[in-house]
Amino acid sequence: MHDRLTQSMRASHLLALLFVLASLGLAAIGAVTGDTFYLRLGTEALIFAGLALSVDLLLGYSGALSLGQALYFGIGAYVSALTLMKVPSFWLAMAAAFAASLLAAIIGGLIANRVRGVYFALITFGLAQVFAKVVYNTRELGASDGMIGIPVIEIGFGPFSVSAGSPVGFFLVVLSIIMGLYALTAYLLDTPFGRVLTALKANEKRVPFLGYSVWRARMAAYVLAGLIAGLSGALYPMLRGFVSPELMFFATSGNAVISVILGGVGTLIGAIYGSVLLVILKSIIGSWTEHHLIVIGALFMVCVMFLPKGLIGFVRPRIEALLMRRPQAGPALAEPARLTPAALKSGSAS
Amino acid sequence: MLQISALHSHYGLSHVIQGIDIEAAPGEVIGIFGRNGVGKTTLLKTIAGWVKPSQGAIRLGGEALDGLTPDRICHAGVGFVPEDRRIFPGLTVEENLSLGLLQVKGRSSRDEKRVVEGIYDRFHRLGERRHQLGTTLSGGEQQMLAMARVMVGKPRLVLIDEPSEGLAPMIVAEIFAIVRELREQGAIILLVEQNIHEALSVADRFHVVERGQIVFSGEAENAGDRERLLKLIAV
Repeated sequence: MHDRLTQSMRASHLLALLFVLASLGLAAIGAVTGDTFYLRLGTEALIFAGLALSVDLLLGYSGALSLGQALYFGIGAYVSALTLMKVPSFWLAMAAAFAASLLAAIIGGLIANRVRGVYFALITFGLAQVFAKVVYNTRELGASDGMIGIPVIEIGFGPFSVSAGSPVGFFLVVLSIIMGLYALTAYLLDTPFGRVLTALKANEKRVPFLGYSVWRARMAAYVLAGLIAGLSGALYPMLRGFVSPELMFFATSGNAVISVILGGVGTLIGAIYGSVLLVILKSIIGSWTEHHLIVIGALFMVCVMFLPKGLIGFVRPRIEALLMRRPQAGPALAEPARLTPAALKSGSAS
Repeated sequence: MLQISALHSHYGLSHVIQGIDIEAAPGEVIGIFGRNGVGKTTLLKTIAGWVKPSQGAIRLGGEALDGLTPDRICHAGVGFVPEDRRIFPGLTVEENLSLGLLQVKGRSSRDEKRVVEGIYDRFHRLGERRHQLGTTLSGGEQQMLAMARVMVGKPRLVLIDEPSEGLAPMIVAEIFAIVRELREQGAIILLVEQNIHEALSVADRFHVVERGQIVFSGEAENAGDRERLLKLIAV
C-alpha cells in the first residue's frame, strides 16, 4: 500500500541515500588527503546519530520524550569497553552491549512506562542521572575519570578485517552499522507495528479499540530505542579508546534531543542529519569561541521558531510531493465532495 | 451467543449499570433504548472493557469477557463504534483501515490489500479518499470509516453507539444499511440509538433501559411492544 507513511519513508530513504553518498565522498577525500581529524569527527557524529535515532523513535513515533536516553548509550559504551579490555573482539563487545542494553531497557521500560508525558520525561531523566552517579562513584569502573586504555581492535568480516585505528576503515564500519540501524528502524515503522506507534502518538486511548495493547507497544518501542542507543554507545570506546560517566549525563541526552529537533522530529533520517549538524556546529563554533554553547543555543531557538519541523521536516514534504506525482503513487487526493443523492445511490455517501 | 447476566458497573461511587441481563444469538440486532443518562453508553463501554464491571458476567460464544482489557476483548471478536467515532484524524483513510486489520491473526499483506479493496468497493467515497487524512472527512465519512474499520476485523459482536447522531437523513439510511450487512454476516449487534424508528427498522428485539436497569423488553415487529416502547421513552 503506497499510503502517506510509505511515501514519507520513501522520501526519507532518498535522503538516507544522499547521506550515504556524501559520507562515502568524505571517506574518499579523507583517504586521498590522509585526513584524520574530520573522519574521526564524522565517526563521532555518526555514533551520536545512533543515539539521536533512538530518541526520534520514541519522540517522533510514540510521542514519548526521553531525557535519559544516554543511559543506554552509556551502558553500551561501558559494557563494550569492559569486554574489549578482557577480550578484544568487536563482535563479542557488540553482543555484550546488545544483551546489557536489552536488559537495562526492559527494566527501564517497566519503570518509565508506568507514566506518561512530562512524568515519563522526568523518570527517564532520573534513571539516567542515578545510574550515571553510581558509575561516577564506582572505583571499579574508573569512577569520575572513566576507563582508559581500551585496545585498538581489528574488526573481522570473514576473510577481511578493518582496524578501529584506521580513520577511513572505522568510519565506514560505523556508517554501515548506523545506516543498518536506520534501515531496520525504518522497516519496522513501515510494518503494522509502526502504524500502532503512529496511532499511539495520535491518540493513545483509541488504540485498545483496535485490539492492541498500549503498554506492549510502548514497551516494544522503548526497548528497541534502548537497543539502538546501546549498540551506538558500544562503538564509542572503539573510536576514543576511553569511556567516562559524562556519556550518561544529561548533556548527552539533551544533545540527542536537540539533534532530533534540528533534523526534524518523526523523520528518522532527520535525527542523523541533525546529529551531524550539531557535531559540526560544535566543532566549528568551538574553534572560534569557548562560549560555543551560547551560539548553538541561539541557533537552536532560531531553528525551533522558523523551522519547527526541522531541516528534514522542511525538505521531505517537497520530495514527497515529487514522489506523489509519479503514476504508481495512486490517485491524487480527492477534493471534499458535496453530498448528493446520486452519490448516495452509487454507495458513496459523504 | 452473547450472554450478559447480572451486570453491574460504577463510575466512582455512582452505580450506573444495576443488574442488566441480555442474551443474543448470532445475526441478531438488539436495540438499546432509553433517555439520556440512563446508562446505555456505559453498558456498551462495560462490554468493551472501558468500564470495569463491578459484578456480573459477559460471555461471548462461551468465552468470558468480563475483567479482560479492551485490547483482549477486541481480540475476542468485539468491535466497538463509539459515539465520537474515534477514528485517527492524523492518519489517512487507508492507515485507519489498516489499523483495524491488526486484530486479524495470520493476515498476509495480500489479504490486507484484498480486504481493504473490498471496503473501497463497498464504500466508494472512502476509496476516493484513501490518501486523505481523517480530519478532512465529513461526519458521515468518518462514521463510515469507523464502521468499516470494525468490519475489516470481522467481529462476532458489534457495539454501536448513536451511529446516526448529527448526520443527514440520507447518510443515516446508508449507516443502517451497513448495520444490516453486518447482521447478514452473522454478527450480533447491540445498537444504542436515539432515532427509534430507524433503529426499529433493523432491530429484531429491543430493551428499554432506565436508571441502569432493563425495564421493558420487546420484539421490534410487535406493534404492541413498539407502542409501549414509545410510551416509555415518551417520543
